[in-house]
Amino acid sequence: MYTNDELVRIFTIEKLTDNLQQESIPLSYTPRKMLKHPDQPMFYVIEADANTLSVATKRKLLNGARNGDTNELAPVEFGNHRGEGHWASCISVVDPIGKEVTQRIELEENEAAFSIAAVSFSSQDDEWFLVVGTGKDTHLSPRKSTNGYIHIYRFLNDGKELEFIHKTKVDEPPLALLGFQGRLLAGIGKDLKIYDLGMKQLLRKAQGQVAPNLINGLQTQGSRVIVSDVQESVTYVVYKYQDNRLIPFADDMIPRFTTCTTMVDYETVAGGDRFGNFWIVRCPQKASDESDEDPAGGHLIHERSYLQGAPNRLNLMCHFYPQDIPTSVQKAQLVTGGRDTLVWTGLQGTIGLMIPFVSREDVDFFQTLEQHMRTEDAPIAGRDHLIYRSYYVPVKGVIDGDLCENYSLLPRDKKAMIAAELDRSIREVERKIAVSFLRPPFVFASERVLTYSAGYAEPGCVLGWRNSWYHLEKGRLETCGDGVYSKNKKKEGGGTGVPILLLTVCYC
Amino acid sequence: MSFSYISPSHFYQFEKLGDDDLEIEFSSDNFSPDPLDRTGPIYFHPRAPENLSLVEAIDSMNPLVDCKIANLTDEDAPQIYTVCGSGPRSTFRILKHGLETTEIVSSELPGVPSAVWTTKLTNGDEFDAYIVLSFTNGTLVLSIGETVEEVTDTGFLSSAPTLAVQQLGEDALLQVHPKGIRHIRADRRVNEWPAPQHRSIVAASTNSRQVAVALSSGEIVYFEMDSDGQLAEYEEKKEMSGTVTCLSLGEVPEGRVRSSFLAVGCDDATVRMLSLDPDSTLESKSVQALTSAPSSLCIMSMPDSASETSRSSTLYLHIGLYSGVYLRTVLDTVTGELTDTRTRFLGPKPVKIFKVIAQGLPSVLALSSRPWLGYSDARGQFMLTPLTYPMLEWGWTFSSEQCPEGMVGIQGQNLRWVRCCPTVVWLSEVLDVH
Repeated sequence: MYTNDELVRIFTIEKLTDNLQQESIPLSYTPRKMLKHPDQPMFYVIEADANTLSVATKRKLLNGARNGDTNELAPVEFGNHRGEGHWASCISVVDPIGKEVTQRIELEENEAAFSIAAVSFSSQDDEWFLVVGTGKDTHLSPRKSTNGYIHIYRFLNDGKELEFIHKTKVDEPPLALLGFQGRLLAGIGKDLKIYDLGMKQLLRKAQGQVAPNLINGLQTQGSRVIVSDVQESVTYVVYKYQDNRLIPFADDMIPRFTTCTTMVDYETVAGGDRFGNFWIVRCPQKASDESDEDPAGGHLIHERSYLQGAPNRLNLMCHFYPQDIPTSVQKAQLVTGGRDTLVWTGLQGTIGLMIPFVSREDVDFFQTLEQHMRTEDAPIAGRDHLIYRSYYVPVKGVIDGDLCENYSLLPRDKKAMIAAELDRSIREVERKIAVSFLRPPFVFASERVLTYSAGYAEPGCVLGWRNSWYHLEKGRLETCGDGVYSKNKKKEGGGTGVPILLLTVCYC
Repeated sequence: MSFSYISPSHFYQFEKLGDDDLEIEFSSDNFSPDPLDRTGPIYFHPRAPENLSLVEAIDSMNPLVDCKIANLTDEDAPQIYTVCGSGPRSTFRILKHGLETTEIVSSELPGVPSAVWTTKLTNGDEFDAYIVLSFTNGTLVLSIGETVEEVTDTGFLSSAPTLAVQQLGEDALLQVHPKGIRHIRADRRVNEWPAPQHRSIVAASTNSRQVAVALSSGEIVYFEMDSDGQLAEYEEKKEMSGTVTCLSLGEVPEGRVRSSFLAVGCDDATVRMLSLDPDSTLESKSVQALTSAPSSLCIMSMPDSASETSRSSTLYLHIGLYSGVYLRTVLDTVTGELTDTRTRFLGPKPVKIFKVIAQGLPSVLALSSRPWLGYSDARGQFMLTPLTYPMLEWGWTFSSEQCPEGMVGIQGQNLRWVRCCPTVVWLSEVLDVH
């Protein structure tokens, strides 16, 4: 009787896959970066494809075509029209709730978008603006562009639409943009520049050369700016308001080809590089304190440079080779009320997690367990786990959670042997693994096989990836809120010298 | 089959071999192999594939270019927003943690049911025959057949709410309601055990041979089926210190005549394990103190990777608390002791726990502010994963010819709004855990 009611709904199952549900919104070109609106649930994606005809160029060419077939083929099936030296690029406004693209702004005159940021300008009553950095006639290898532009858009209609205000010509395409103390901080080539918003264009307020090659990422807390260079790891820069100067005071000793960074706390930065490493570096406490002492910064300017770099060196806290190239890293809580963790994503589709250890006791336990797992669960191809995880730099301060989790798959006698070595019962060991990892909400049942096959393959394929990566993505930017430095904040996060536990999750 | 790194891998099926269409064919034999020889241009029309049809695509997020984690939909866990793919096939993806469920049917009901059960008619039946819905002032029985229809001659008491329904022994049915226990024999004869005067039944737990009820006075009365299919009340009664909030008996293990433990949850935030062995009936075996009063209990055995032999299962006691915390403890089958407790916060609402079947394995459906399924994954590890389904008030297994491994649940969107429509939903049969 009730089943004949009008409200009966019958559904079929489309796909039985894993415990992660995906919903897709189609985009037009290869995405480069995304940005969330500071207040509204809206995303802004910059997309760009090299050697592809833009919509305007295509229309012009089609209008000129008098003979022949002008039927347009669906780009999803047949690809976009190719054209040497042409760029197709757009800014998409994505509504993740309504699952649609509410506005798409196609860039013209062969411009391609490379960086995006939301900036609230103090001079405009703290109104938020969308800032997009573009390059004109960009050639990827060798890198050259006619010039760059910084576009300014105003948010309309709760961020669902954008209104173009003006664009400012700059020497090179800005690969990193960031809101900084009510103004815009832009990484243009080797220079870090501060801009304010004017009526007709951006007004340059300060400038400093801080990076050796090319700035491709910026992070900030207080008046400290973390500048990542395309080849030379990160540089800590302090902005002295009174002198209006940007002064680098600490840099790294390993040339890391940085792809993404995030500030774990005021002194510590986590990041990934183009060779598939994940690392955490920290500024020495003394150097960090000194950088904030003198409001004018006279002392810092005259400090002697050490070995042709900044006066201070960063300390390496953690290093790990997760095998995929990190494309983003951020601090997040994946479980309500859970710990802060570092979530990173990899180019091949990995979503991975770094969980900070809380107690020394856990560290000792997992270190011993990892040691035993390395010998008892050796891969069939014979590649040593320690060599693999230390592919570029010896692994430091990180325990491979994936390997430890394989404990439950071992035969019983091996389990018992390892448990005896650890002075515990099998159940206690499994409990410890389950509780410490508290599987994050996106672990795939099939992930093990994938991590294994991907992880233990010779990284020849990765080199191939690296090359395409090199062309695909030259910079990255993370906008995080302007955190104000306070003594309490320093203690936050995994910043107490405790190793970080890794749980990589591979999804390809 | 097409495998791809930077776009989904596709699996195609041949529709036809393309030998009967009007397409112009080109053969390399007609052209000179020397690249310096000039050949005329070749014209053809590109078109969508006709001879192949797409069967399945495996999603790929390669290349994953950027990601933001944010909770924009006010759920209890944040979502992962990513941009991935290349060229015109690139996508903005929203990733959520959860098992996919497919709704088979959902229908509106005349009132607000508080609970639902399904039951077979005899022990040997493969599929469920009745759906029993309990309302605040009555019980409704629906029979499952070609259509789902209300039936009135089942022997169930329809004028009172129901606390438990069970297929008992070979071919009898059992209904526990606040005023008594109704034992319905196959020939529709009804034996009724009335609750003592001025007391009512507040909680009940049943299995195919045993019944335990808790009275409002805090007493526990225990029944066991004797050899002629009669329910026999045990002399021993157990007085609990506080009000009993929930009971669980657990299934009768194969080859045994009874489940040897009864778990009793009291509002003094304890769970007590009582023995059901004939020589020590209702004697307390162990006590587990909790952080909040238990709202639901379930004793069940599940496969366990840490157990003694690789394929054996372990007896677990699943506990749901009023505070929204879910606990899973290992129950020792001999001593009744509770060890290896693992906890997990599921949501701000009291947790209700039900035994269900997923992929042929016993699993736990835990309902709080969203439904969760606890199951053993392919590696034998216990996983607790939310379902991508709205909040449910009650859930139960549902098995029919069309849907052998389904679940039936009540979605009472907000019980204070009595006028909004509660619905009964049949959840998907298959939750892929591999």
